[in-house]
Amino acid sequence: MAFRTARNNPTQTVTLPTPTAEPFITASPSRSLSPVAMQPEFAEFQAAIATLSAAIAAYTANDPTLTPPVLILPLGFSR
Amino acid sequence: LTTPVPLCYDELVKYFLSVFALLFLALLPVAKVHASSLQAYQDYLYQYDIYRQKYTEFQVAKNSYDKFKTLESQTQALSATKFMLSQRDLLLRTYMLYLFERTADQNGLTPENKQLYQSLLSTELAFLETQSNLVSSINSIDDALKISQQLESHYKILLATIREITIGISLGQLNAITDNFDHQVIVAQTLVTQNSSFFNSDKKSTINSWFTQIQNKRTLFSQKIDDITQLTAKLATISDSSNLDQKSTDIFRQIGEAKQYMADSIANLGEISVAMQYAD
Repeated sequence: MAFRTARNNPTQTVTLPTPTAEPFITASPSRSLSPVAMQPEFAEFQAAIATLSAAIAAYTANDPTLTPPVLILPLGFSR
Repeated sequence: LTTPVPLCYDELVKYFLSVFALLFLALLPVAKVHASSLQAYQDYLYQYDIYRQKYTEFQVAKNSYDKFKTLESQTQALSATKFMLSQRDLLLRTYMLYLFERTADQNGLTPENKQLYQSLLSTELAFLETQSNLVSSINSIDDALKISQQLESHYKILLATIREITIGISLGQLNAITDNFDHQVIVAQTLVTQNSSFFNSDKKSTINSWFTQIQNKRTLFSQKIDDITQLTAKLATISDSSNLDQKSTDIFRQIGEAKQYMADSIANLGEISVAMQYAD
């Protein structure tokens, strides 16, 4: 009588069923552009707003690079 | 008569490179200014590191002198004190020079404020220069104590000046953004007026309500800046350093609030842009 060993009976990998990834597409209403959107002046205006938004987001009221050095002024010799 | 000396290849290359470098610098004045500010900041950080090192050495020598009171420990303490005091002056001067460069770089500052800050900095730099000269003439611990006390008694004024200028630079940065914003509001109004035939009454009403919002926020922003300016002008009269720190923190908090008004106004301008962009 032969013993069953792990080598003789290799474990089988059971692959669990996984749901197929399907992109769930939601219907989004398409918005039609106005004639203003085609103008170069409007494109410049939009770019300027993007620049302003970035500038105000980057602005820090208390700029850490302006912090003065921390000094201990009294020499503190015991007289 | 002098005969022209022919230039060798290396000299010609050096000549053209130097001409090219000069042209490059002349054509990029803005980049050059910012580079000088950055260089000044790096100098300040470098001197700060040396100061920390000198201060540690001073503390060790002072503690040794306080403990043993020997002639040798006294000599070492005096030497370490002189090095530390000299480096302290140099650190403060480097920091003031950095503020000077930042003030020069800041386009949002009015010419009057720029001149005022640079004048204040020049006064403080002159004081520190005098201090530095005195340090080199120190011959005893008592001399060191007297000279250090001169800076200690002047430091409140120095700190008030620093606070005033750092707040001014911060407001200058915000002012530069505000100038650009005000210009873009005019651009938006022009675009709306020129293209009013493309907008129905609902769209016009929406756009007008955003303009009203912007106007309200802009008014609140201006009021906040006025408050900050008044508070900053009073900083020089504060003698207590902890009170000065507290007031400065309060001012920076108010600048943060002003920033929020401006951020809201820019977001509202973005809403106008979206309203103009789409036909519906």
